[in-house]
Amino acid sequence: MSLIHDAAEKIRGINRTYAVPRIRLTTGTKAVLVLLRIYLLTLVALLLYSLLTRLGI
Amino acid sequence: MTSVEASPRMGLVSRFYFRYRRLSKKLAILAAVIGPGVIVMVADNDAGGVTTYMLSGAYYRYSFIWIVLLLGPVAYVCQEMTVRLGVMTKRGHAQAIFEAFGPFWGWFSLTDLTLTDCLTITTEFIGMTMAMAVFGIPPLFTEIIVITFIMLMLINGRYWTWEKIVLAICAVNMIYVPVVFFIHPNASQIFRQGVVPGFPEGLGGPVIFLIMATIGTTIAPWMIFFQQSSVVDKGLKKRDVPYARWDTAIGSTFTVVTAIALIIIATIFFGGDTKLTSAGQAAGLLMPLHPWVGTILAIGLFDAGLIGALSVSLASSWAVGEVFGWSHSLNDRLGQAKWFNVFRLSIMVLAGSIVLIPGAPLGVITLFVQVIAVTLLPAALVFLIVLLNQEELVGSYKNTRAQNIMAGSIVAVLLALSTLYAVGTLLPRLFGG
Repeated sequence: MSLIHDAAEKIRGINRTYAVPRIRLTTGTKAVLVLLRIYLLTLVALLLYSLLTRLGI
Repeated sequence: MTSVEASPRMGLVSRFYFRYRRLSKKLAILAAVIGPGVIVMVADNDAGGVTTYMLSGAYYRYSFIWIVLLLGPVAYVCQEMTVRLGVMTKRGHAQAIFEAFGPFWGWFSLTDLTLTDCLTITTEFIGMTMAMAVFGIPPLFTEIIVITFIMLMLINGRYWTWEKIVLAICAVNMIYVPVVFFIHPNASQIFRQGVVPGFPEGLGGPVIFLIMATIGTTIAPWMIFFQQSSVVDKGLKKRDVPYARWDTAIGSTFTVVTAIALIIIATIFFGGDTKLTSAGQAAGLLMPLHPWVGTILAIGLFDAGLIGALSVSLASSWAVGEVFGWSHSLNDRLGQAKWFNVFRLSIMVLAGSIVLIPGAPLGVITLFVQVIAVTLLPAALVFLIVLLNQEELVGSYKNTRAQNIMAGSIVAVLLALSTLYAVGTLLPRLFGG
């Protein structure tokens, strides 16, 4: 339990350390980056689908 | 650094001696700097890479050589950016992303990296266990020996020692090149089929898949993280950048030469065999017919897997260590960098366990991991390009317009190929599948 608690505290600490990004992204750039990520993850999901169908699962 | 020129008043012998001394000095510096670029590029030809090149040769003969020739410079363009970023920021790539873009993008990148690294290390163990199985060595034994060796390499806690051992292992990766001279391939056929660009059997789904796997084995997200962290851990400075560029260029040349040698070997022995599924299987099939080629293939495959496991496990351990603030230098002894080493050991054990699952389709998994890596690559490259355009971060080493166009084009081509493959998966009849 304390291990999970420590890990969560560590992650919160990391989030605080890097809370202020050095590069200020415009809303448009942020939107493009999010869309790119979603698109790429969709492609990866399709790849996994393709793998599973090839294996007949 | 100021450059000293030979004076016109010097005699011929003095001028020659002066130039000789200057060249010797430069070569000595290059010898000291060489390492991160060569290692990351040779690790390109990891176990997954060997399988991918073998299958492209077996399925489509020499047709993929021109793609490999193009991918050498592409890999150089991507990796050279990490050298400049590492030298100027003194940060590993994961930490640079956290600092520059904040925790949201930082966690995203770190998760991507760790997952794809775990999958890639699995392919390294697949290659190593298959290679050793050719000599009758059981997979579990191979894995235990490999993991123990990788962890023991850090026992004396010196980056320099680690790097020299890995460079020696990298030299073995060239083992395929002499084989080409003994099997006498037809040079004009290689030129006609391999160097002149073209797509075998059109640009169908299976061809796109293998092209993506080939790209995925030449440039992958872990390489960006590995070389930047390696440059930082080695302590390279601004004045070392020209030499580090040479290091990367030499490494990319090794990669291309070895990859072409593998395609030639596969074409000569398996050309047209579409039933081949992995390099390990190829080595096993060659053993009764051409024992020396089979043995070299198996040794090379094991070596490729070892370099891959060494480098890929380090890429994510460095990244996680940087972000979590653990001691994460190879200059630290095993016990000093406890969590860094525990993490590295854990991902290797996890990846090794997947390989031991009975009946797992290891050849198919290997190719898919390469394709997943290349699909996620544009995201990593976009961050790299944005970082290299921040003058306050990299100063005069900011990307030029030409570098941005090249890097941007690579992202565009990768996105186009991934999209083509996805469309091919959803609508197989579109590509005659």
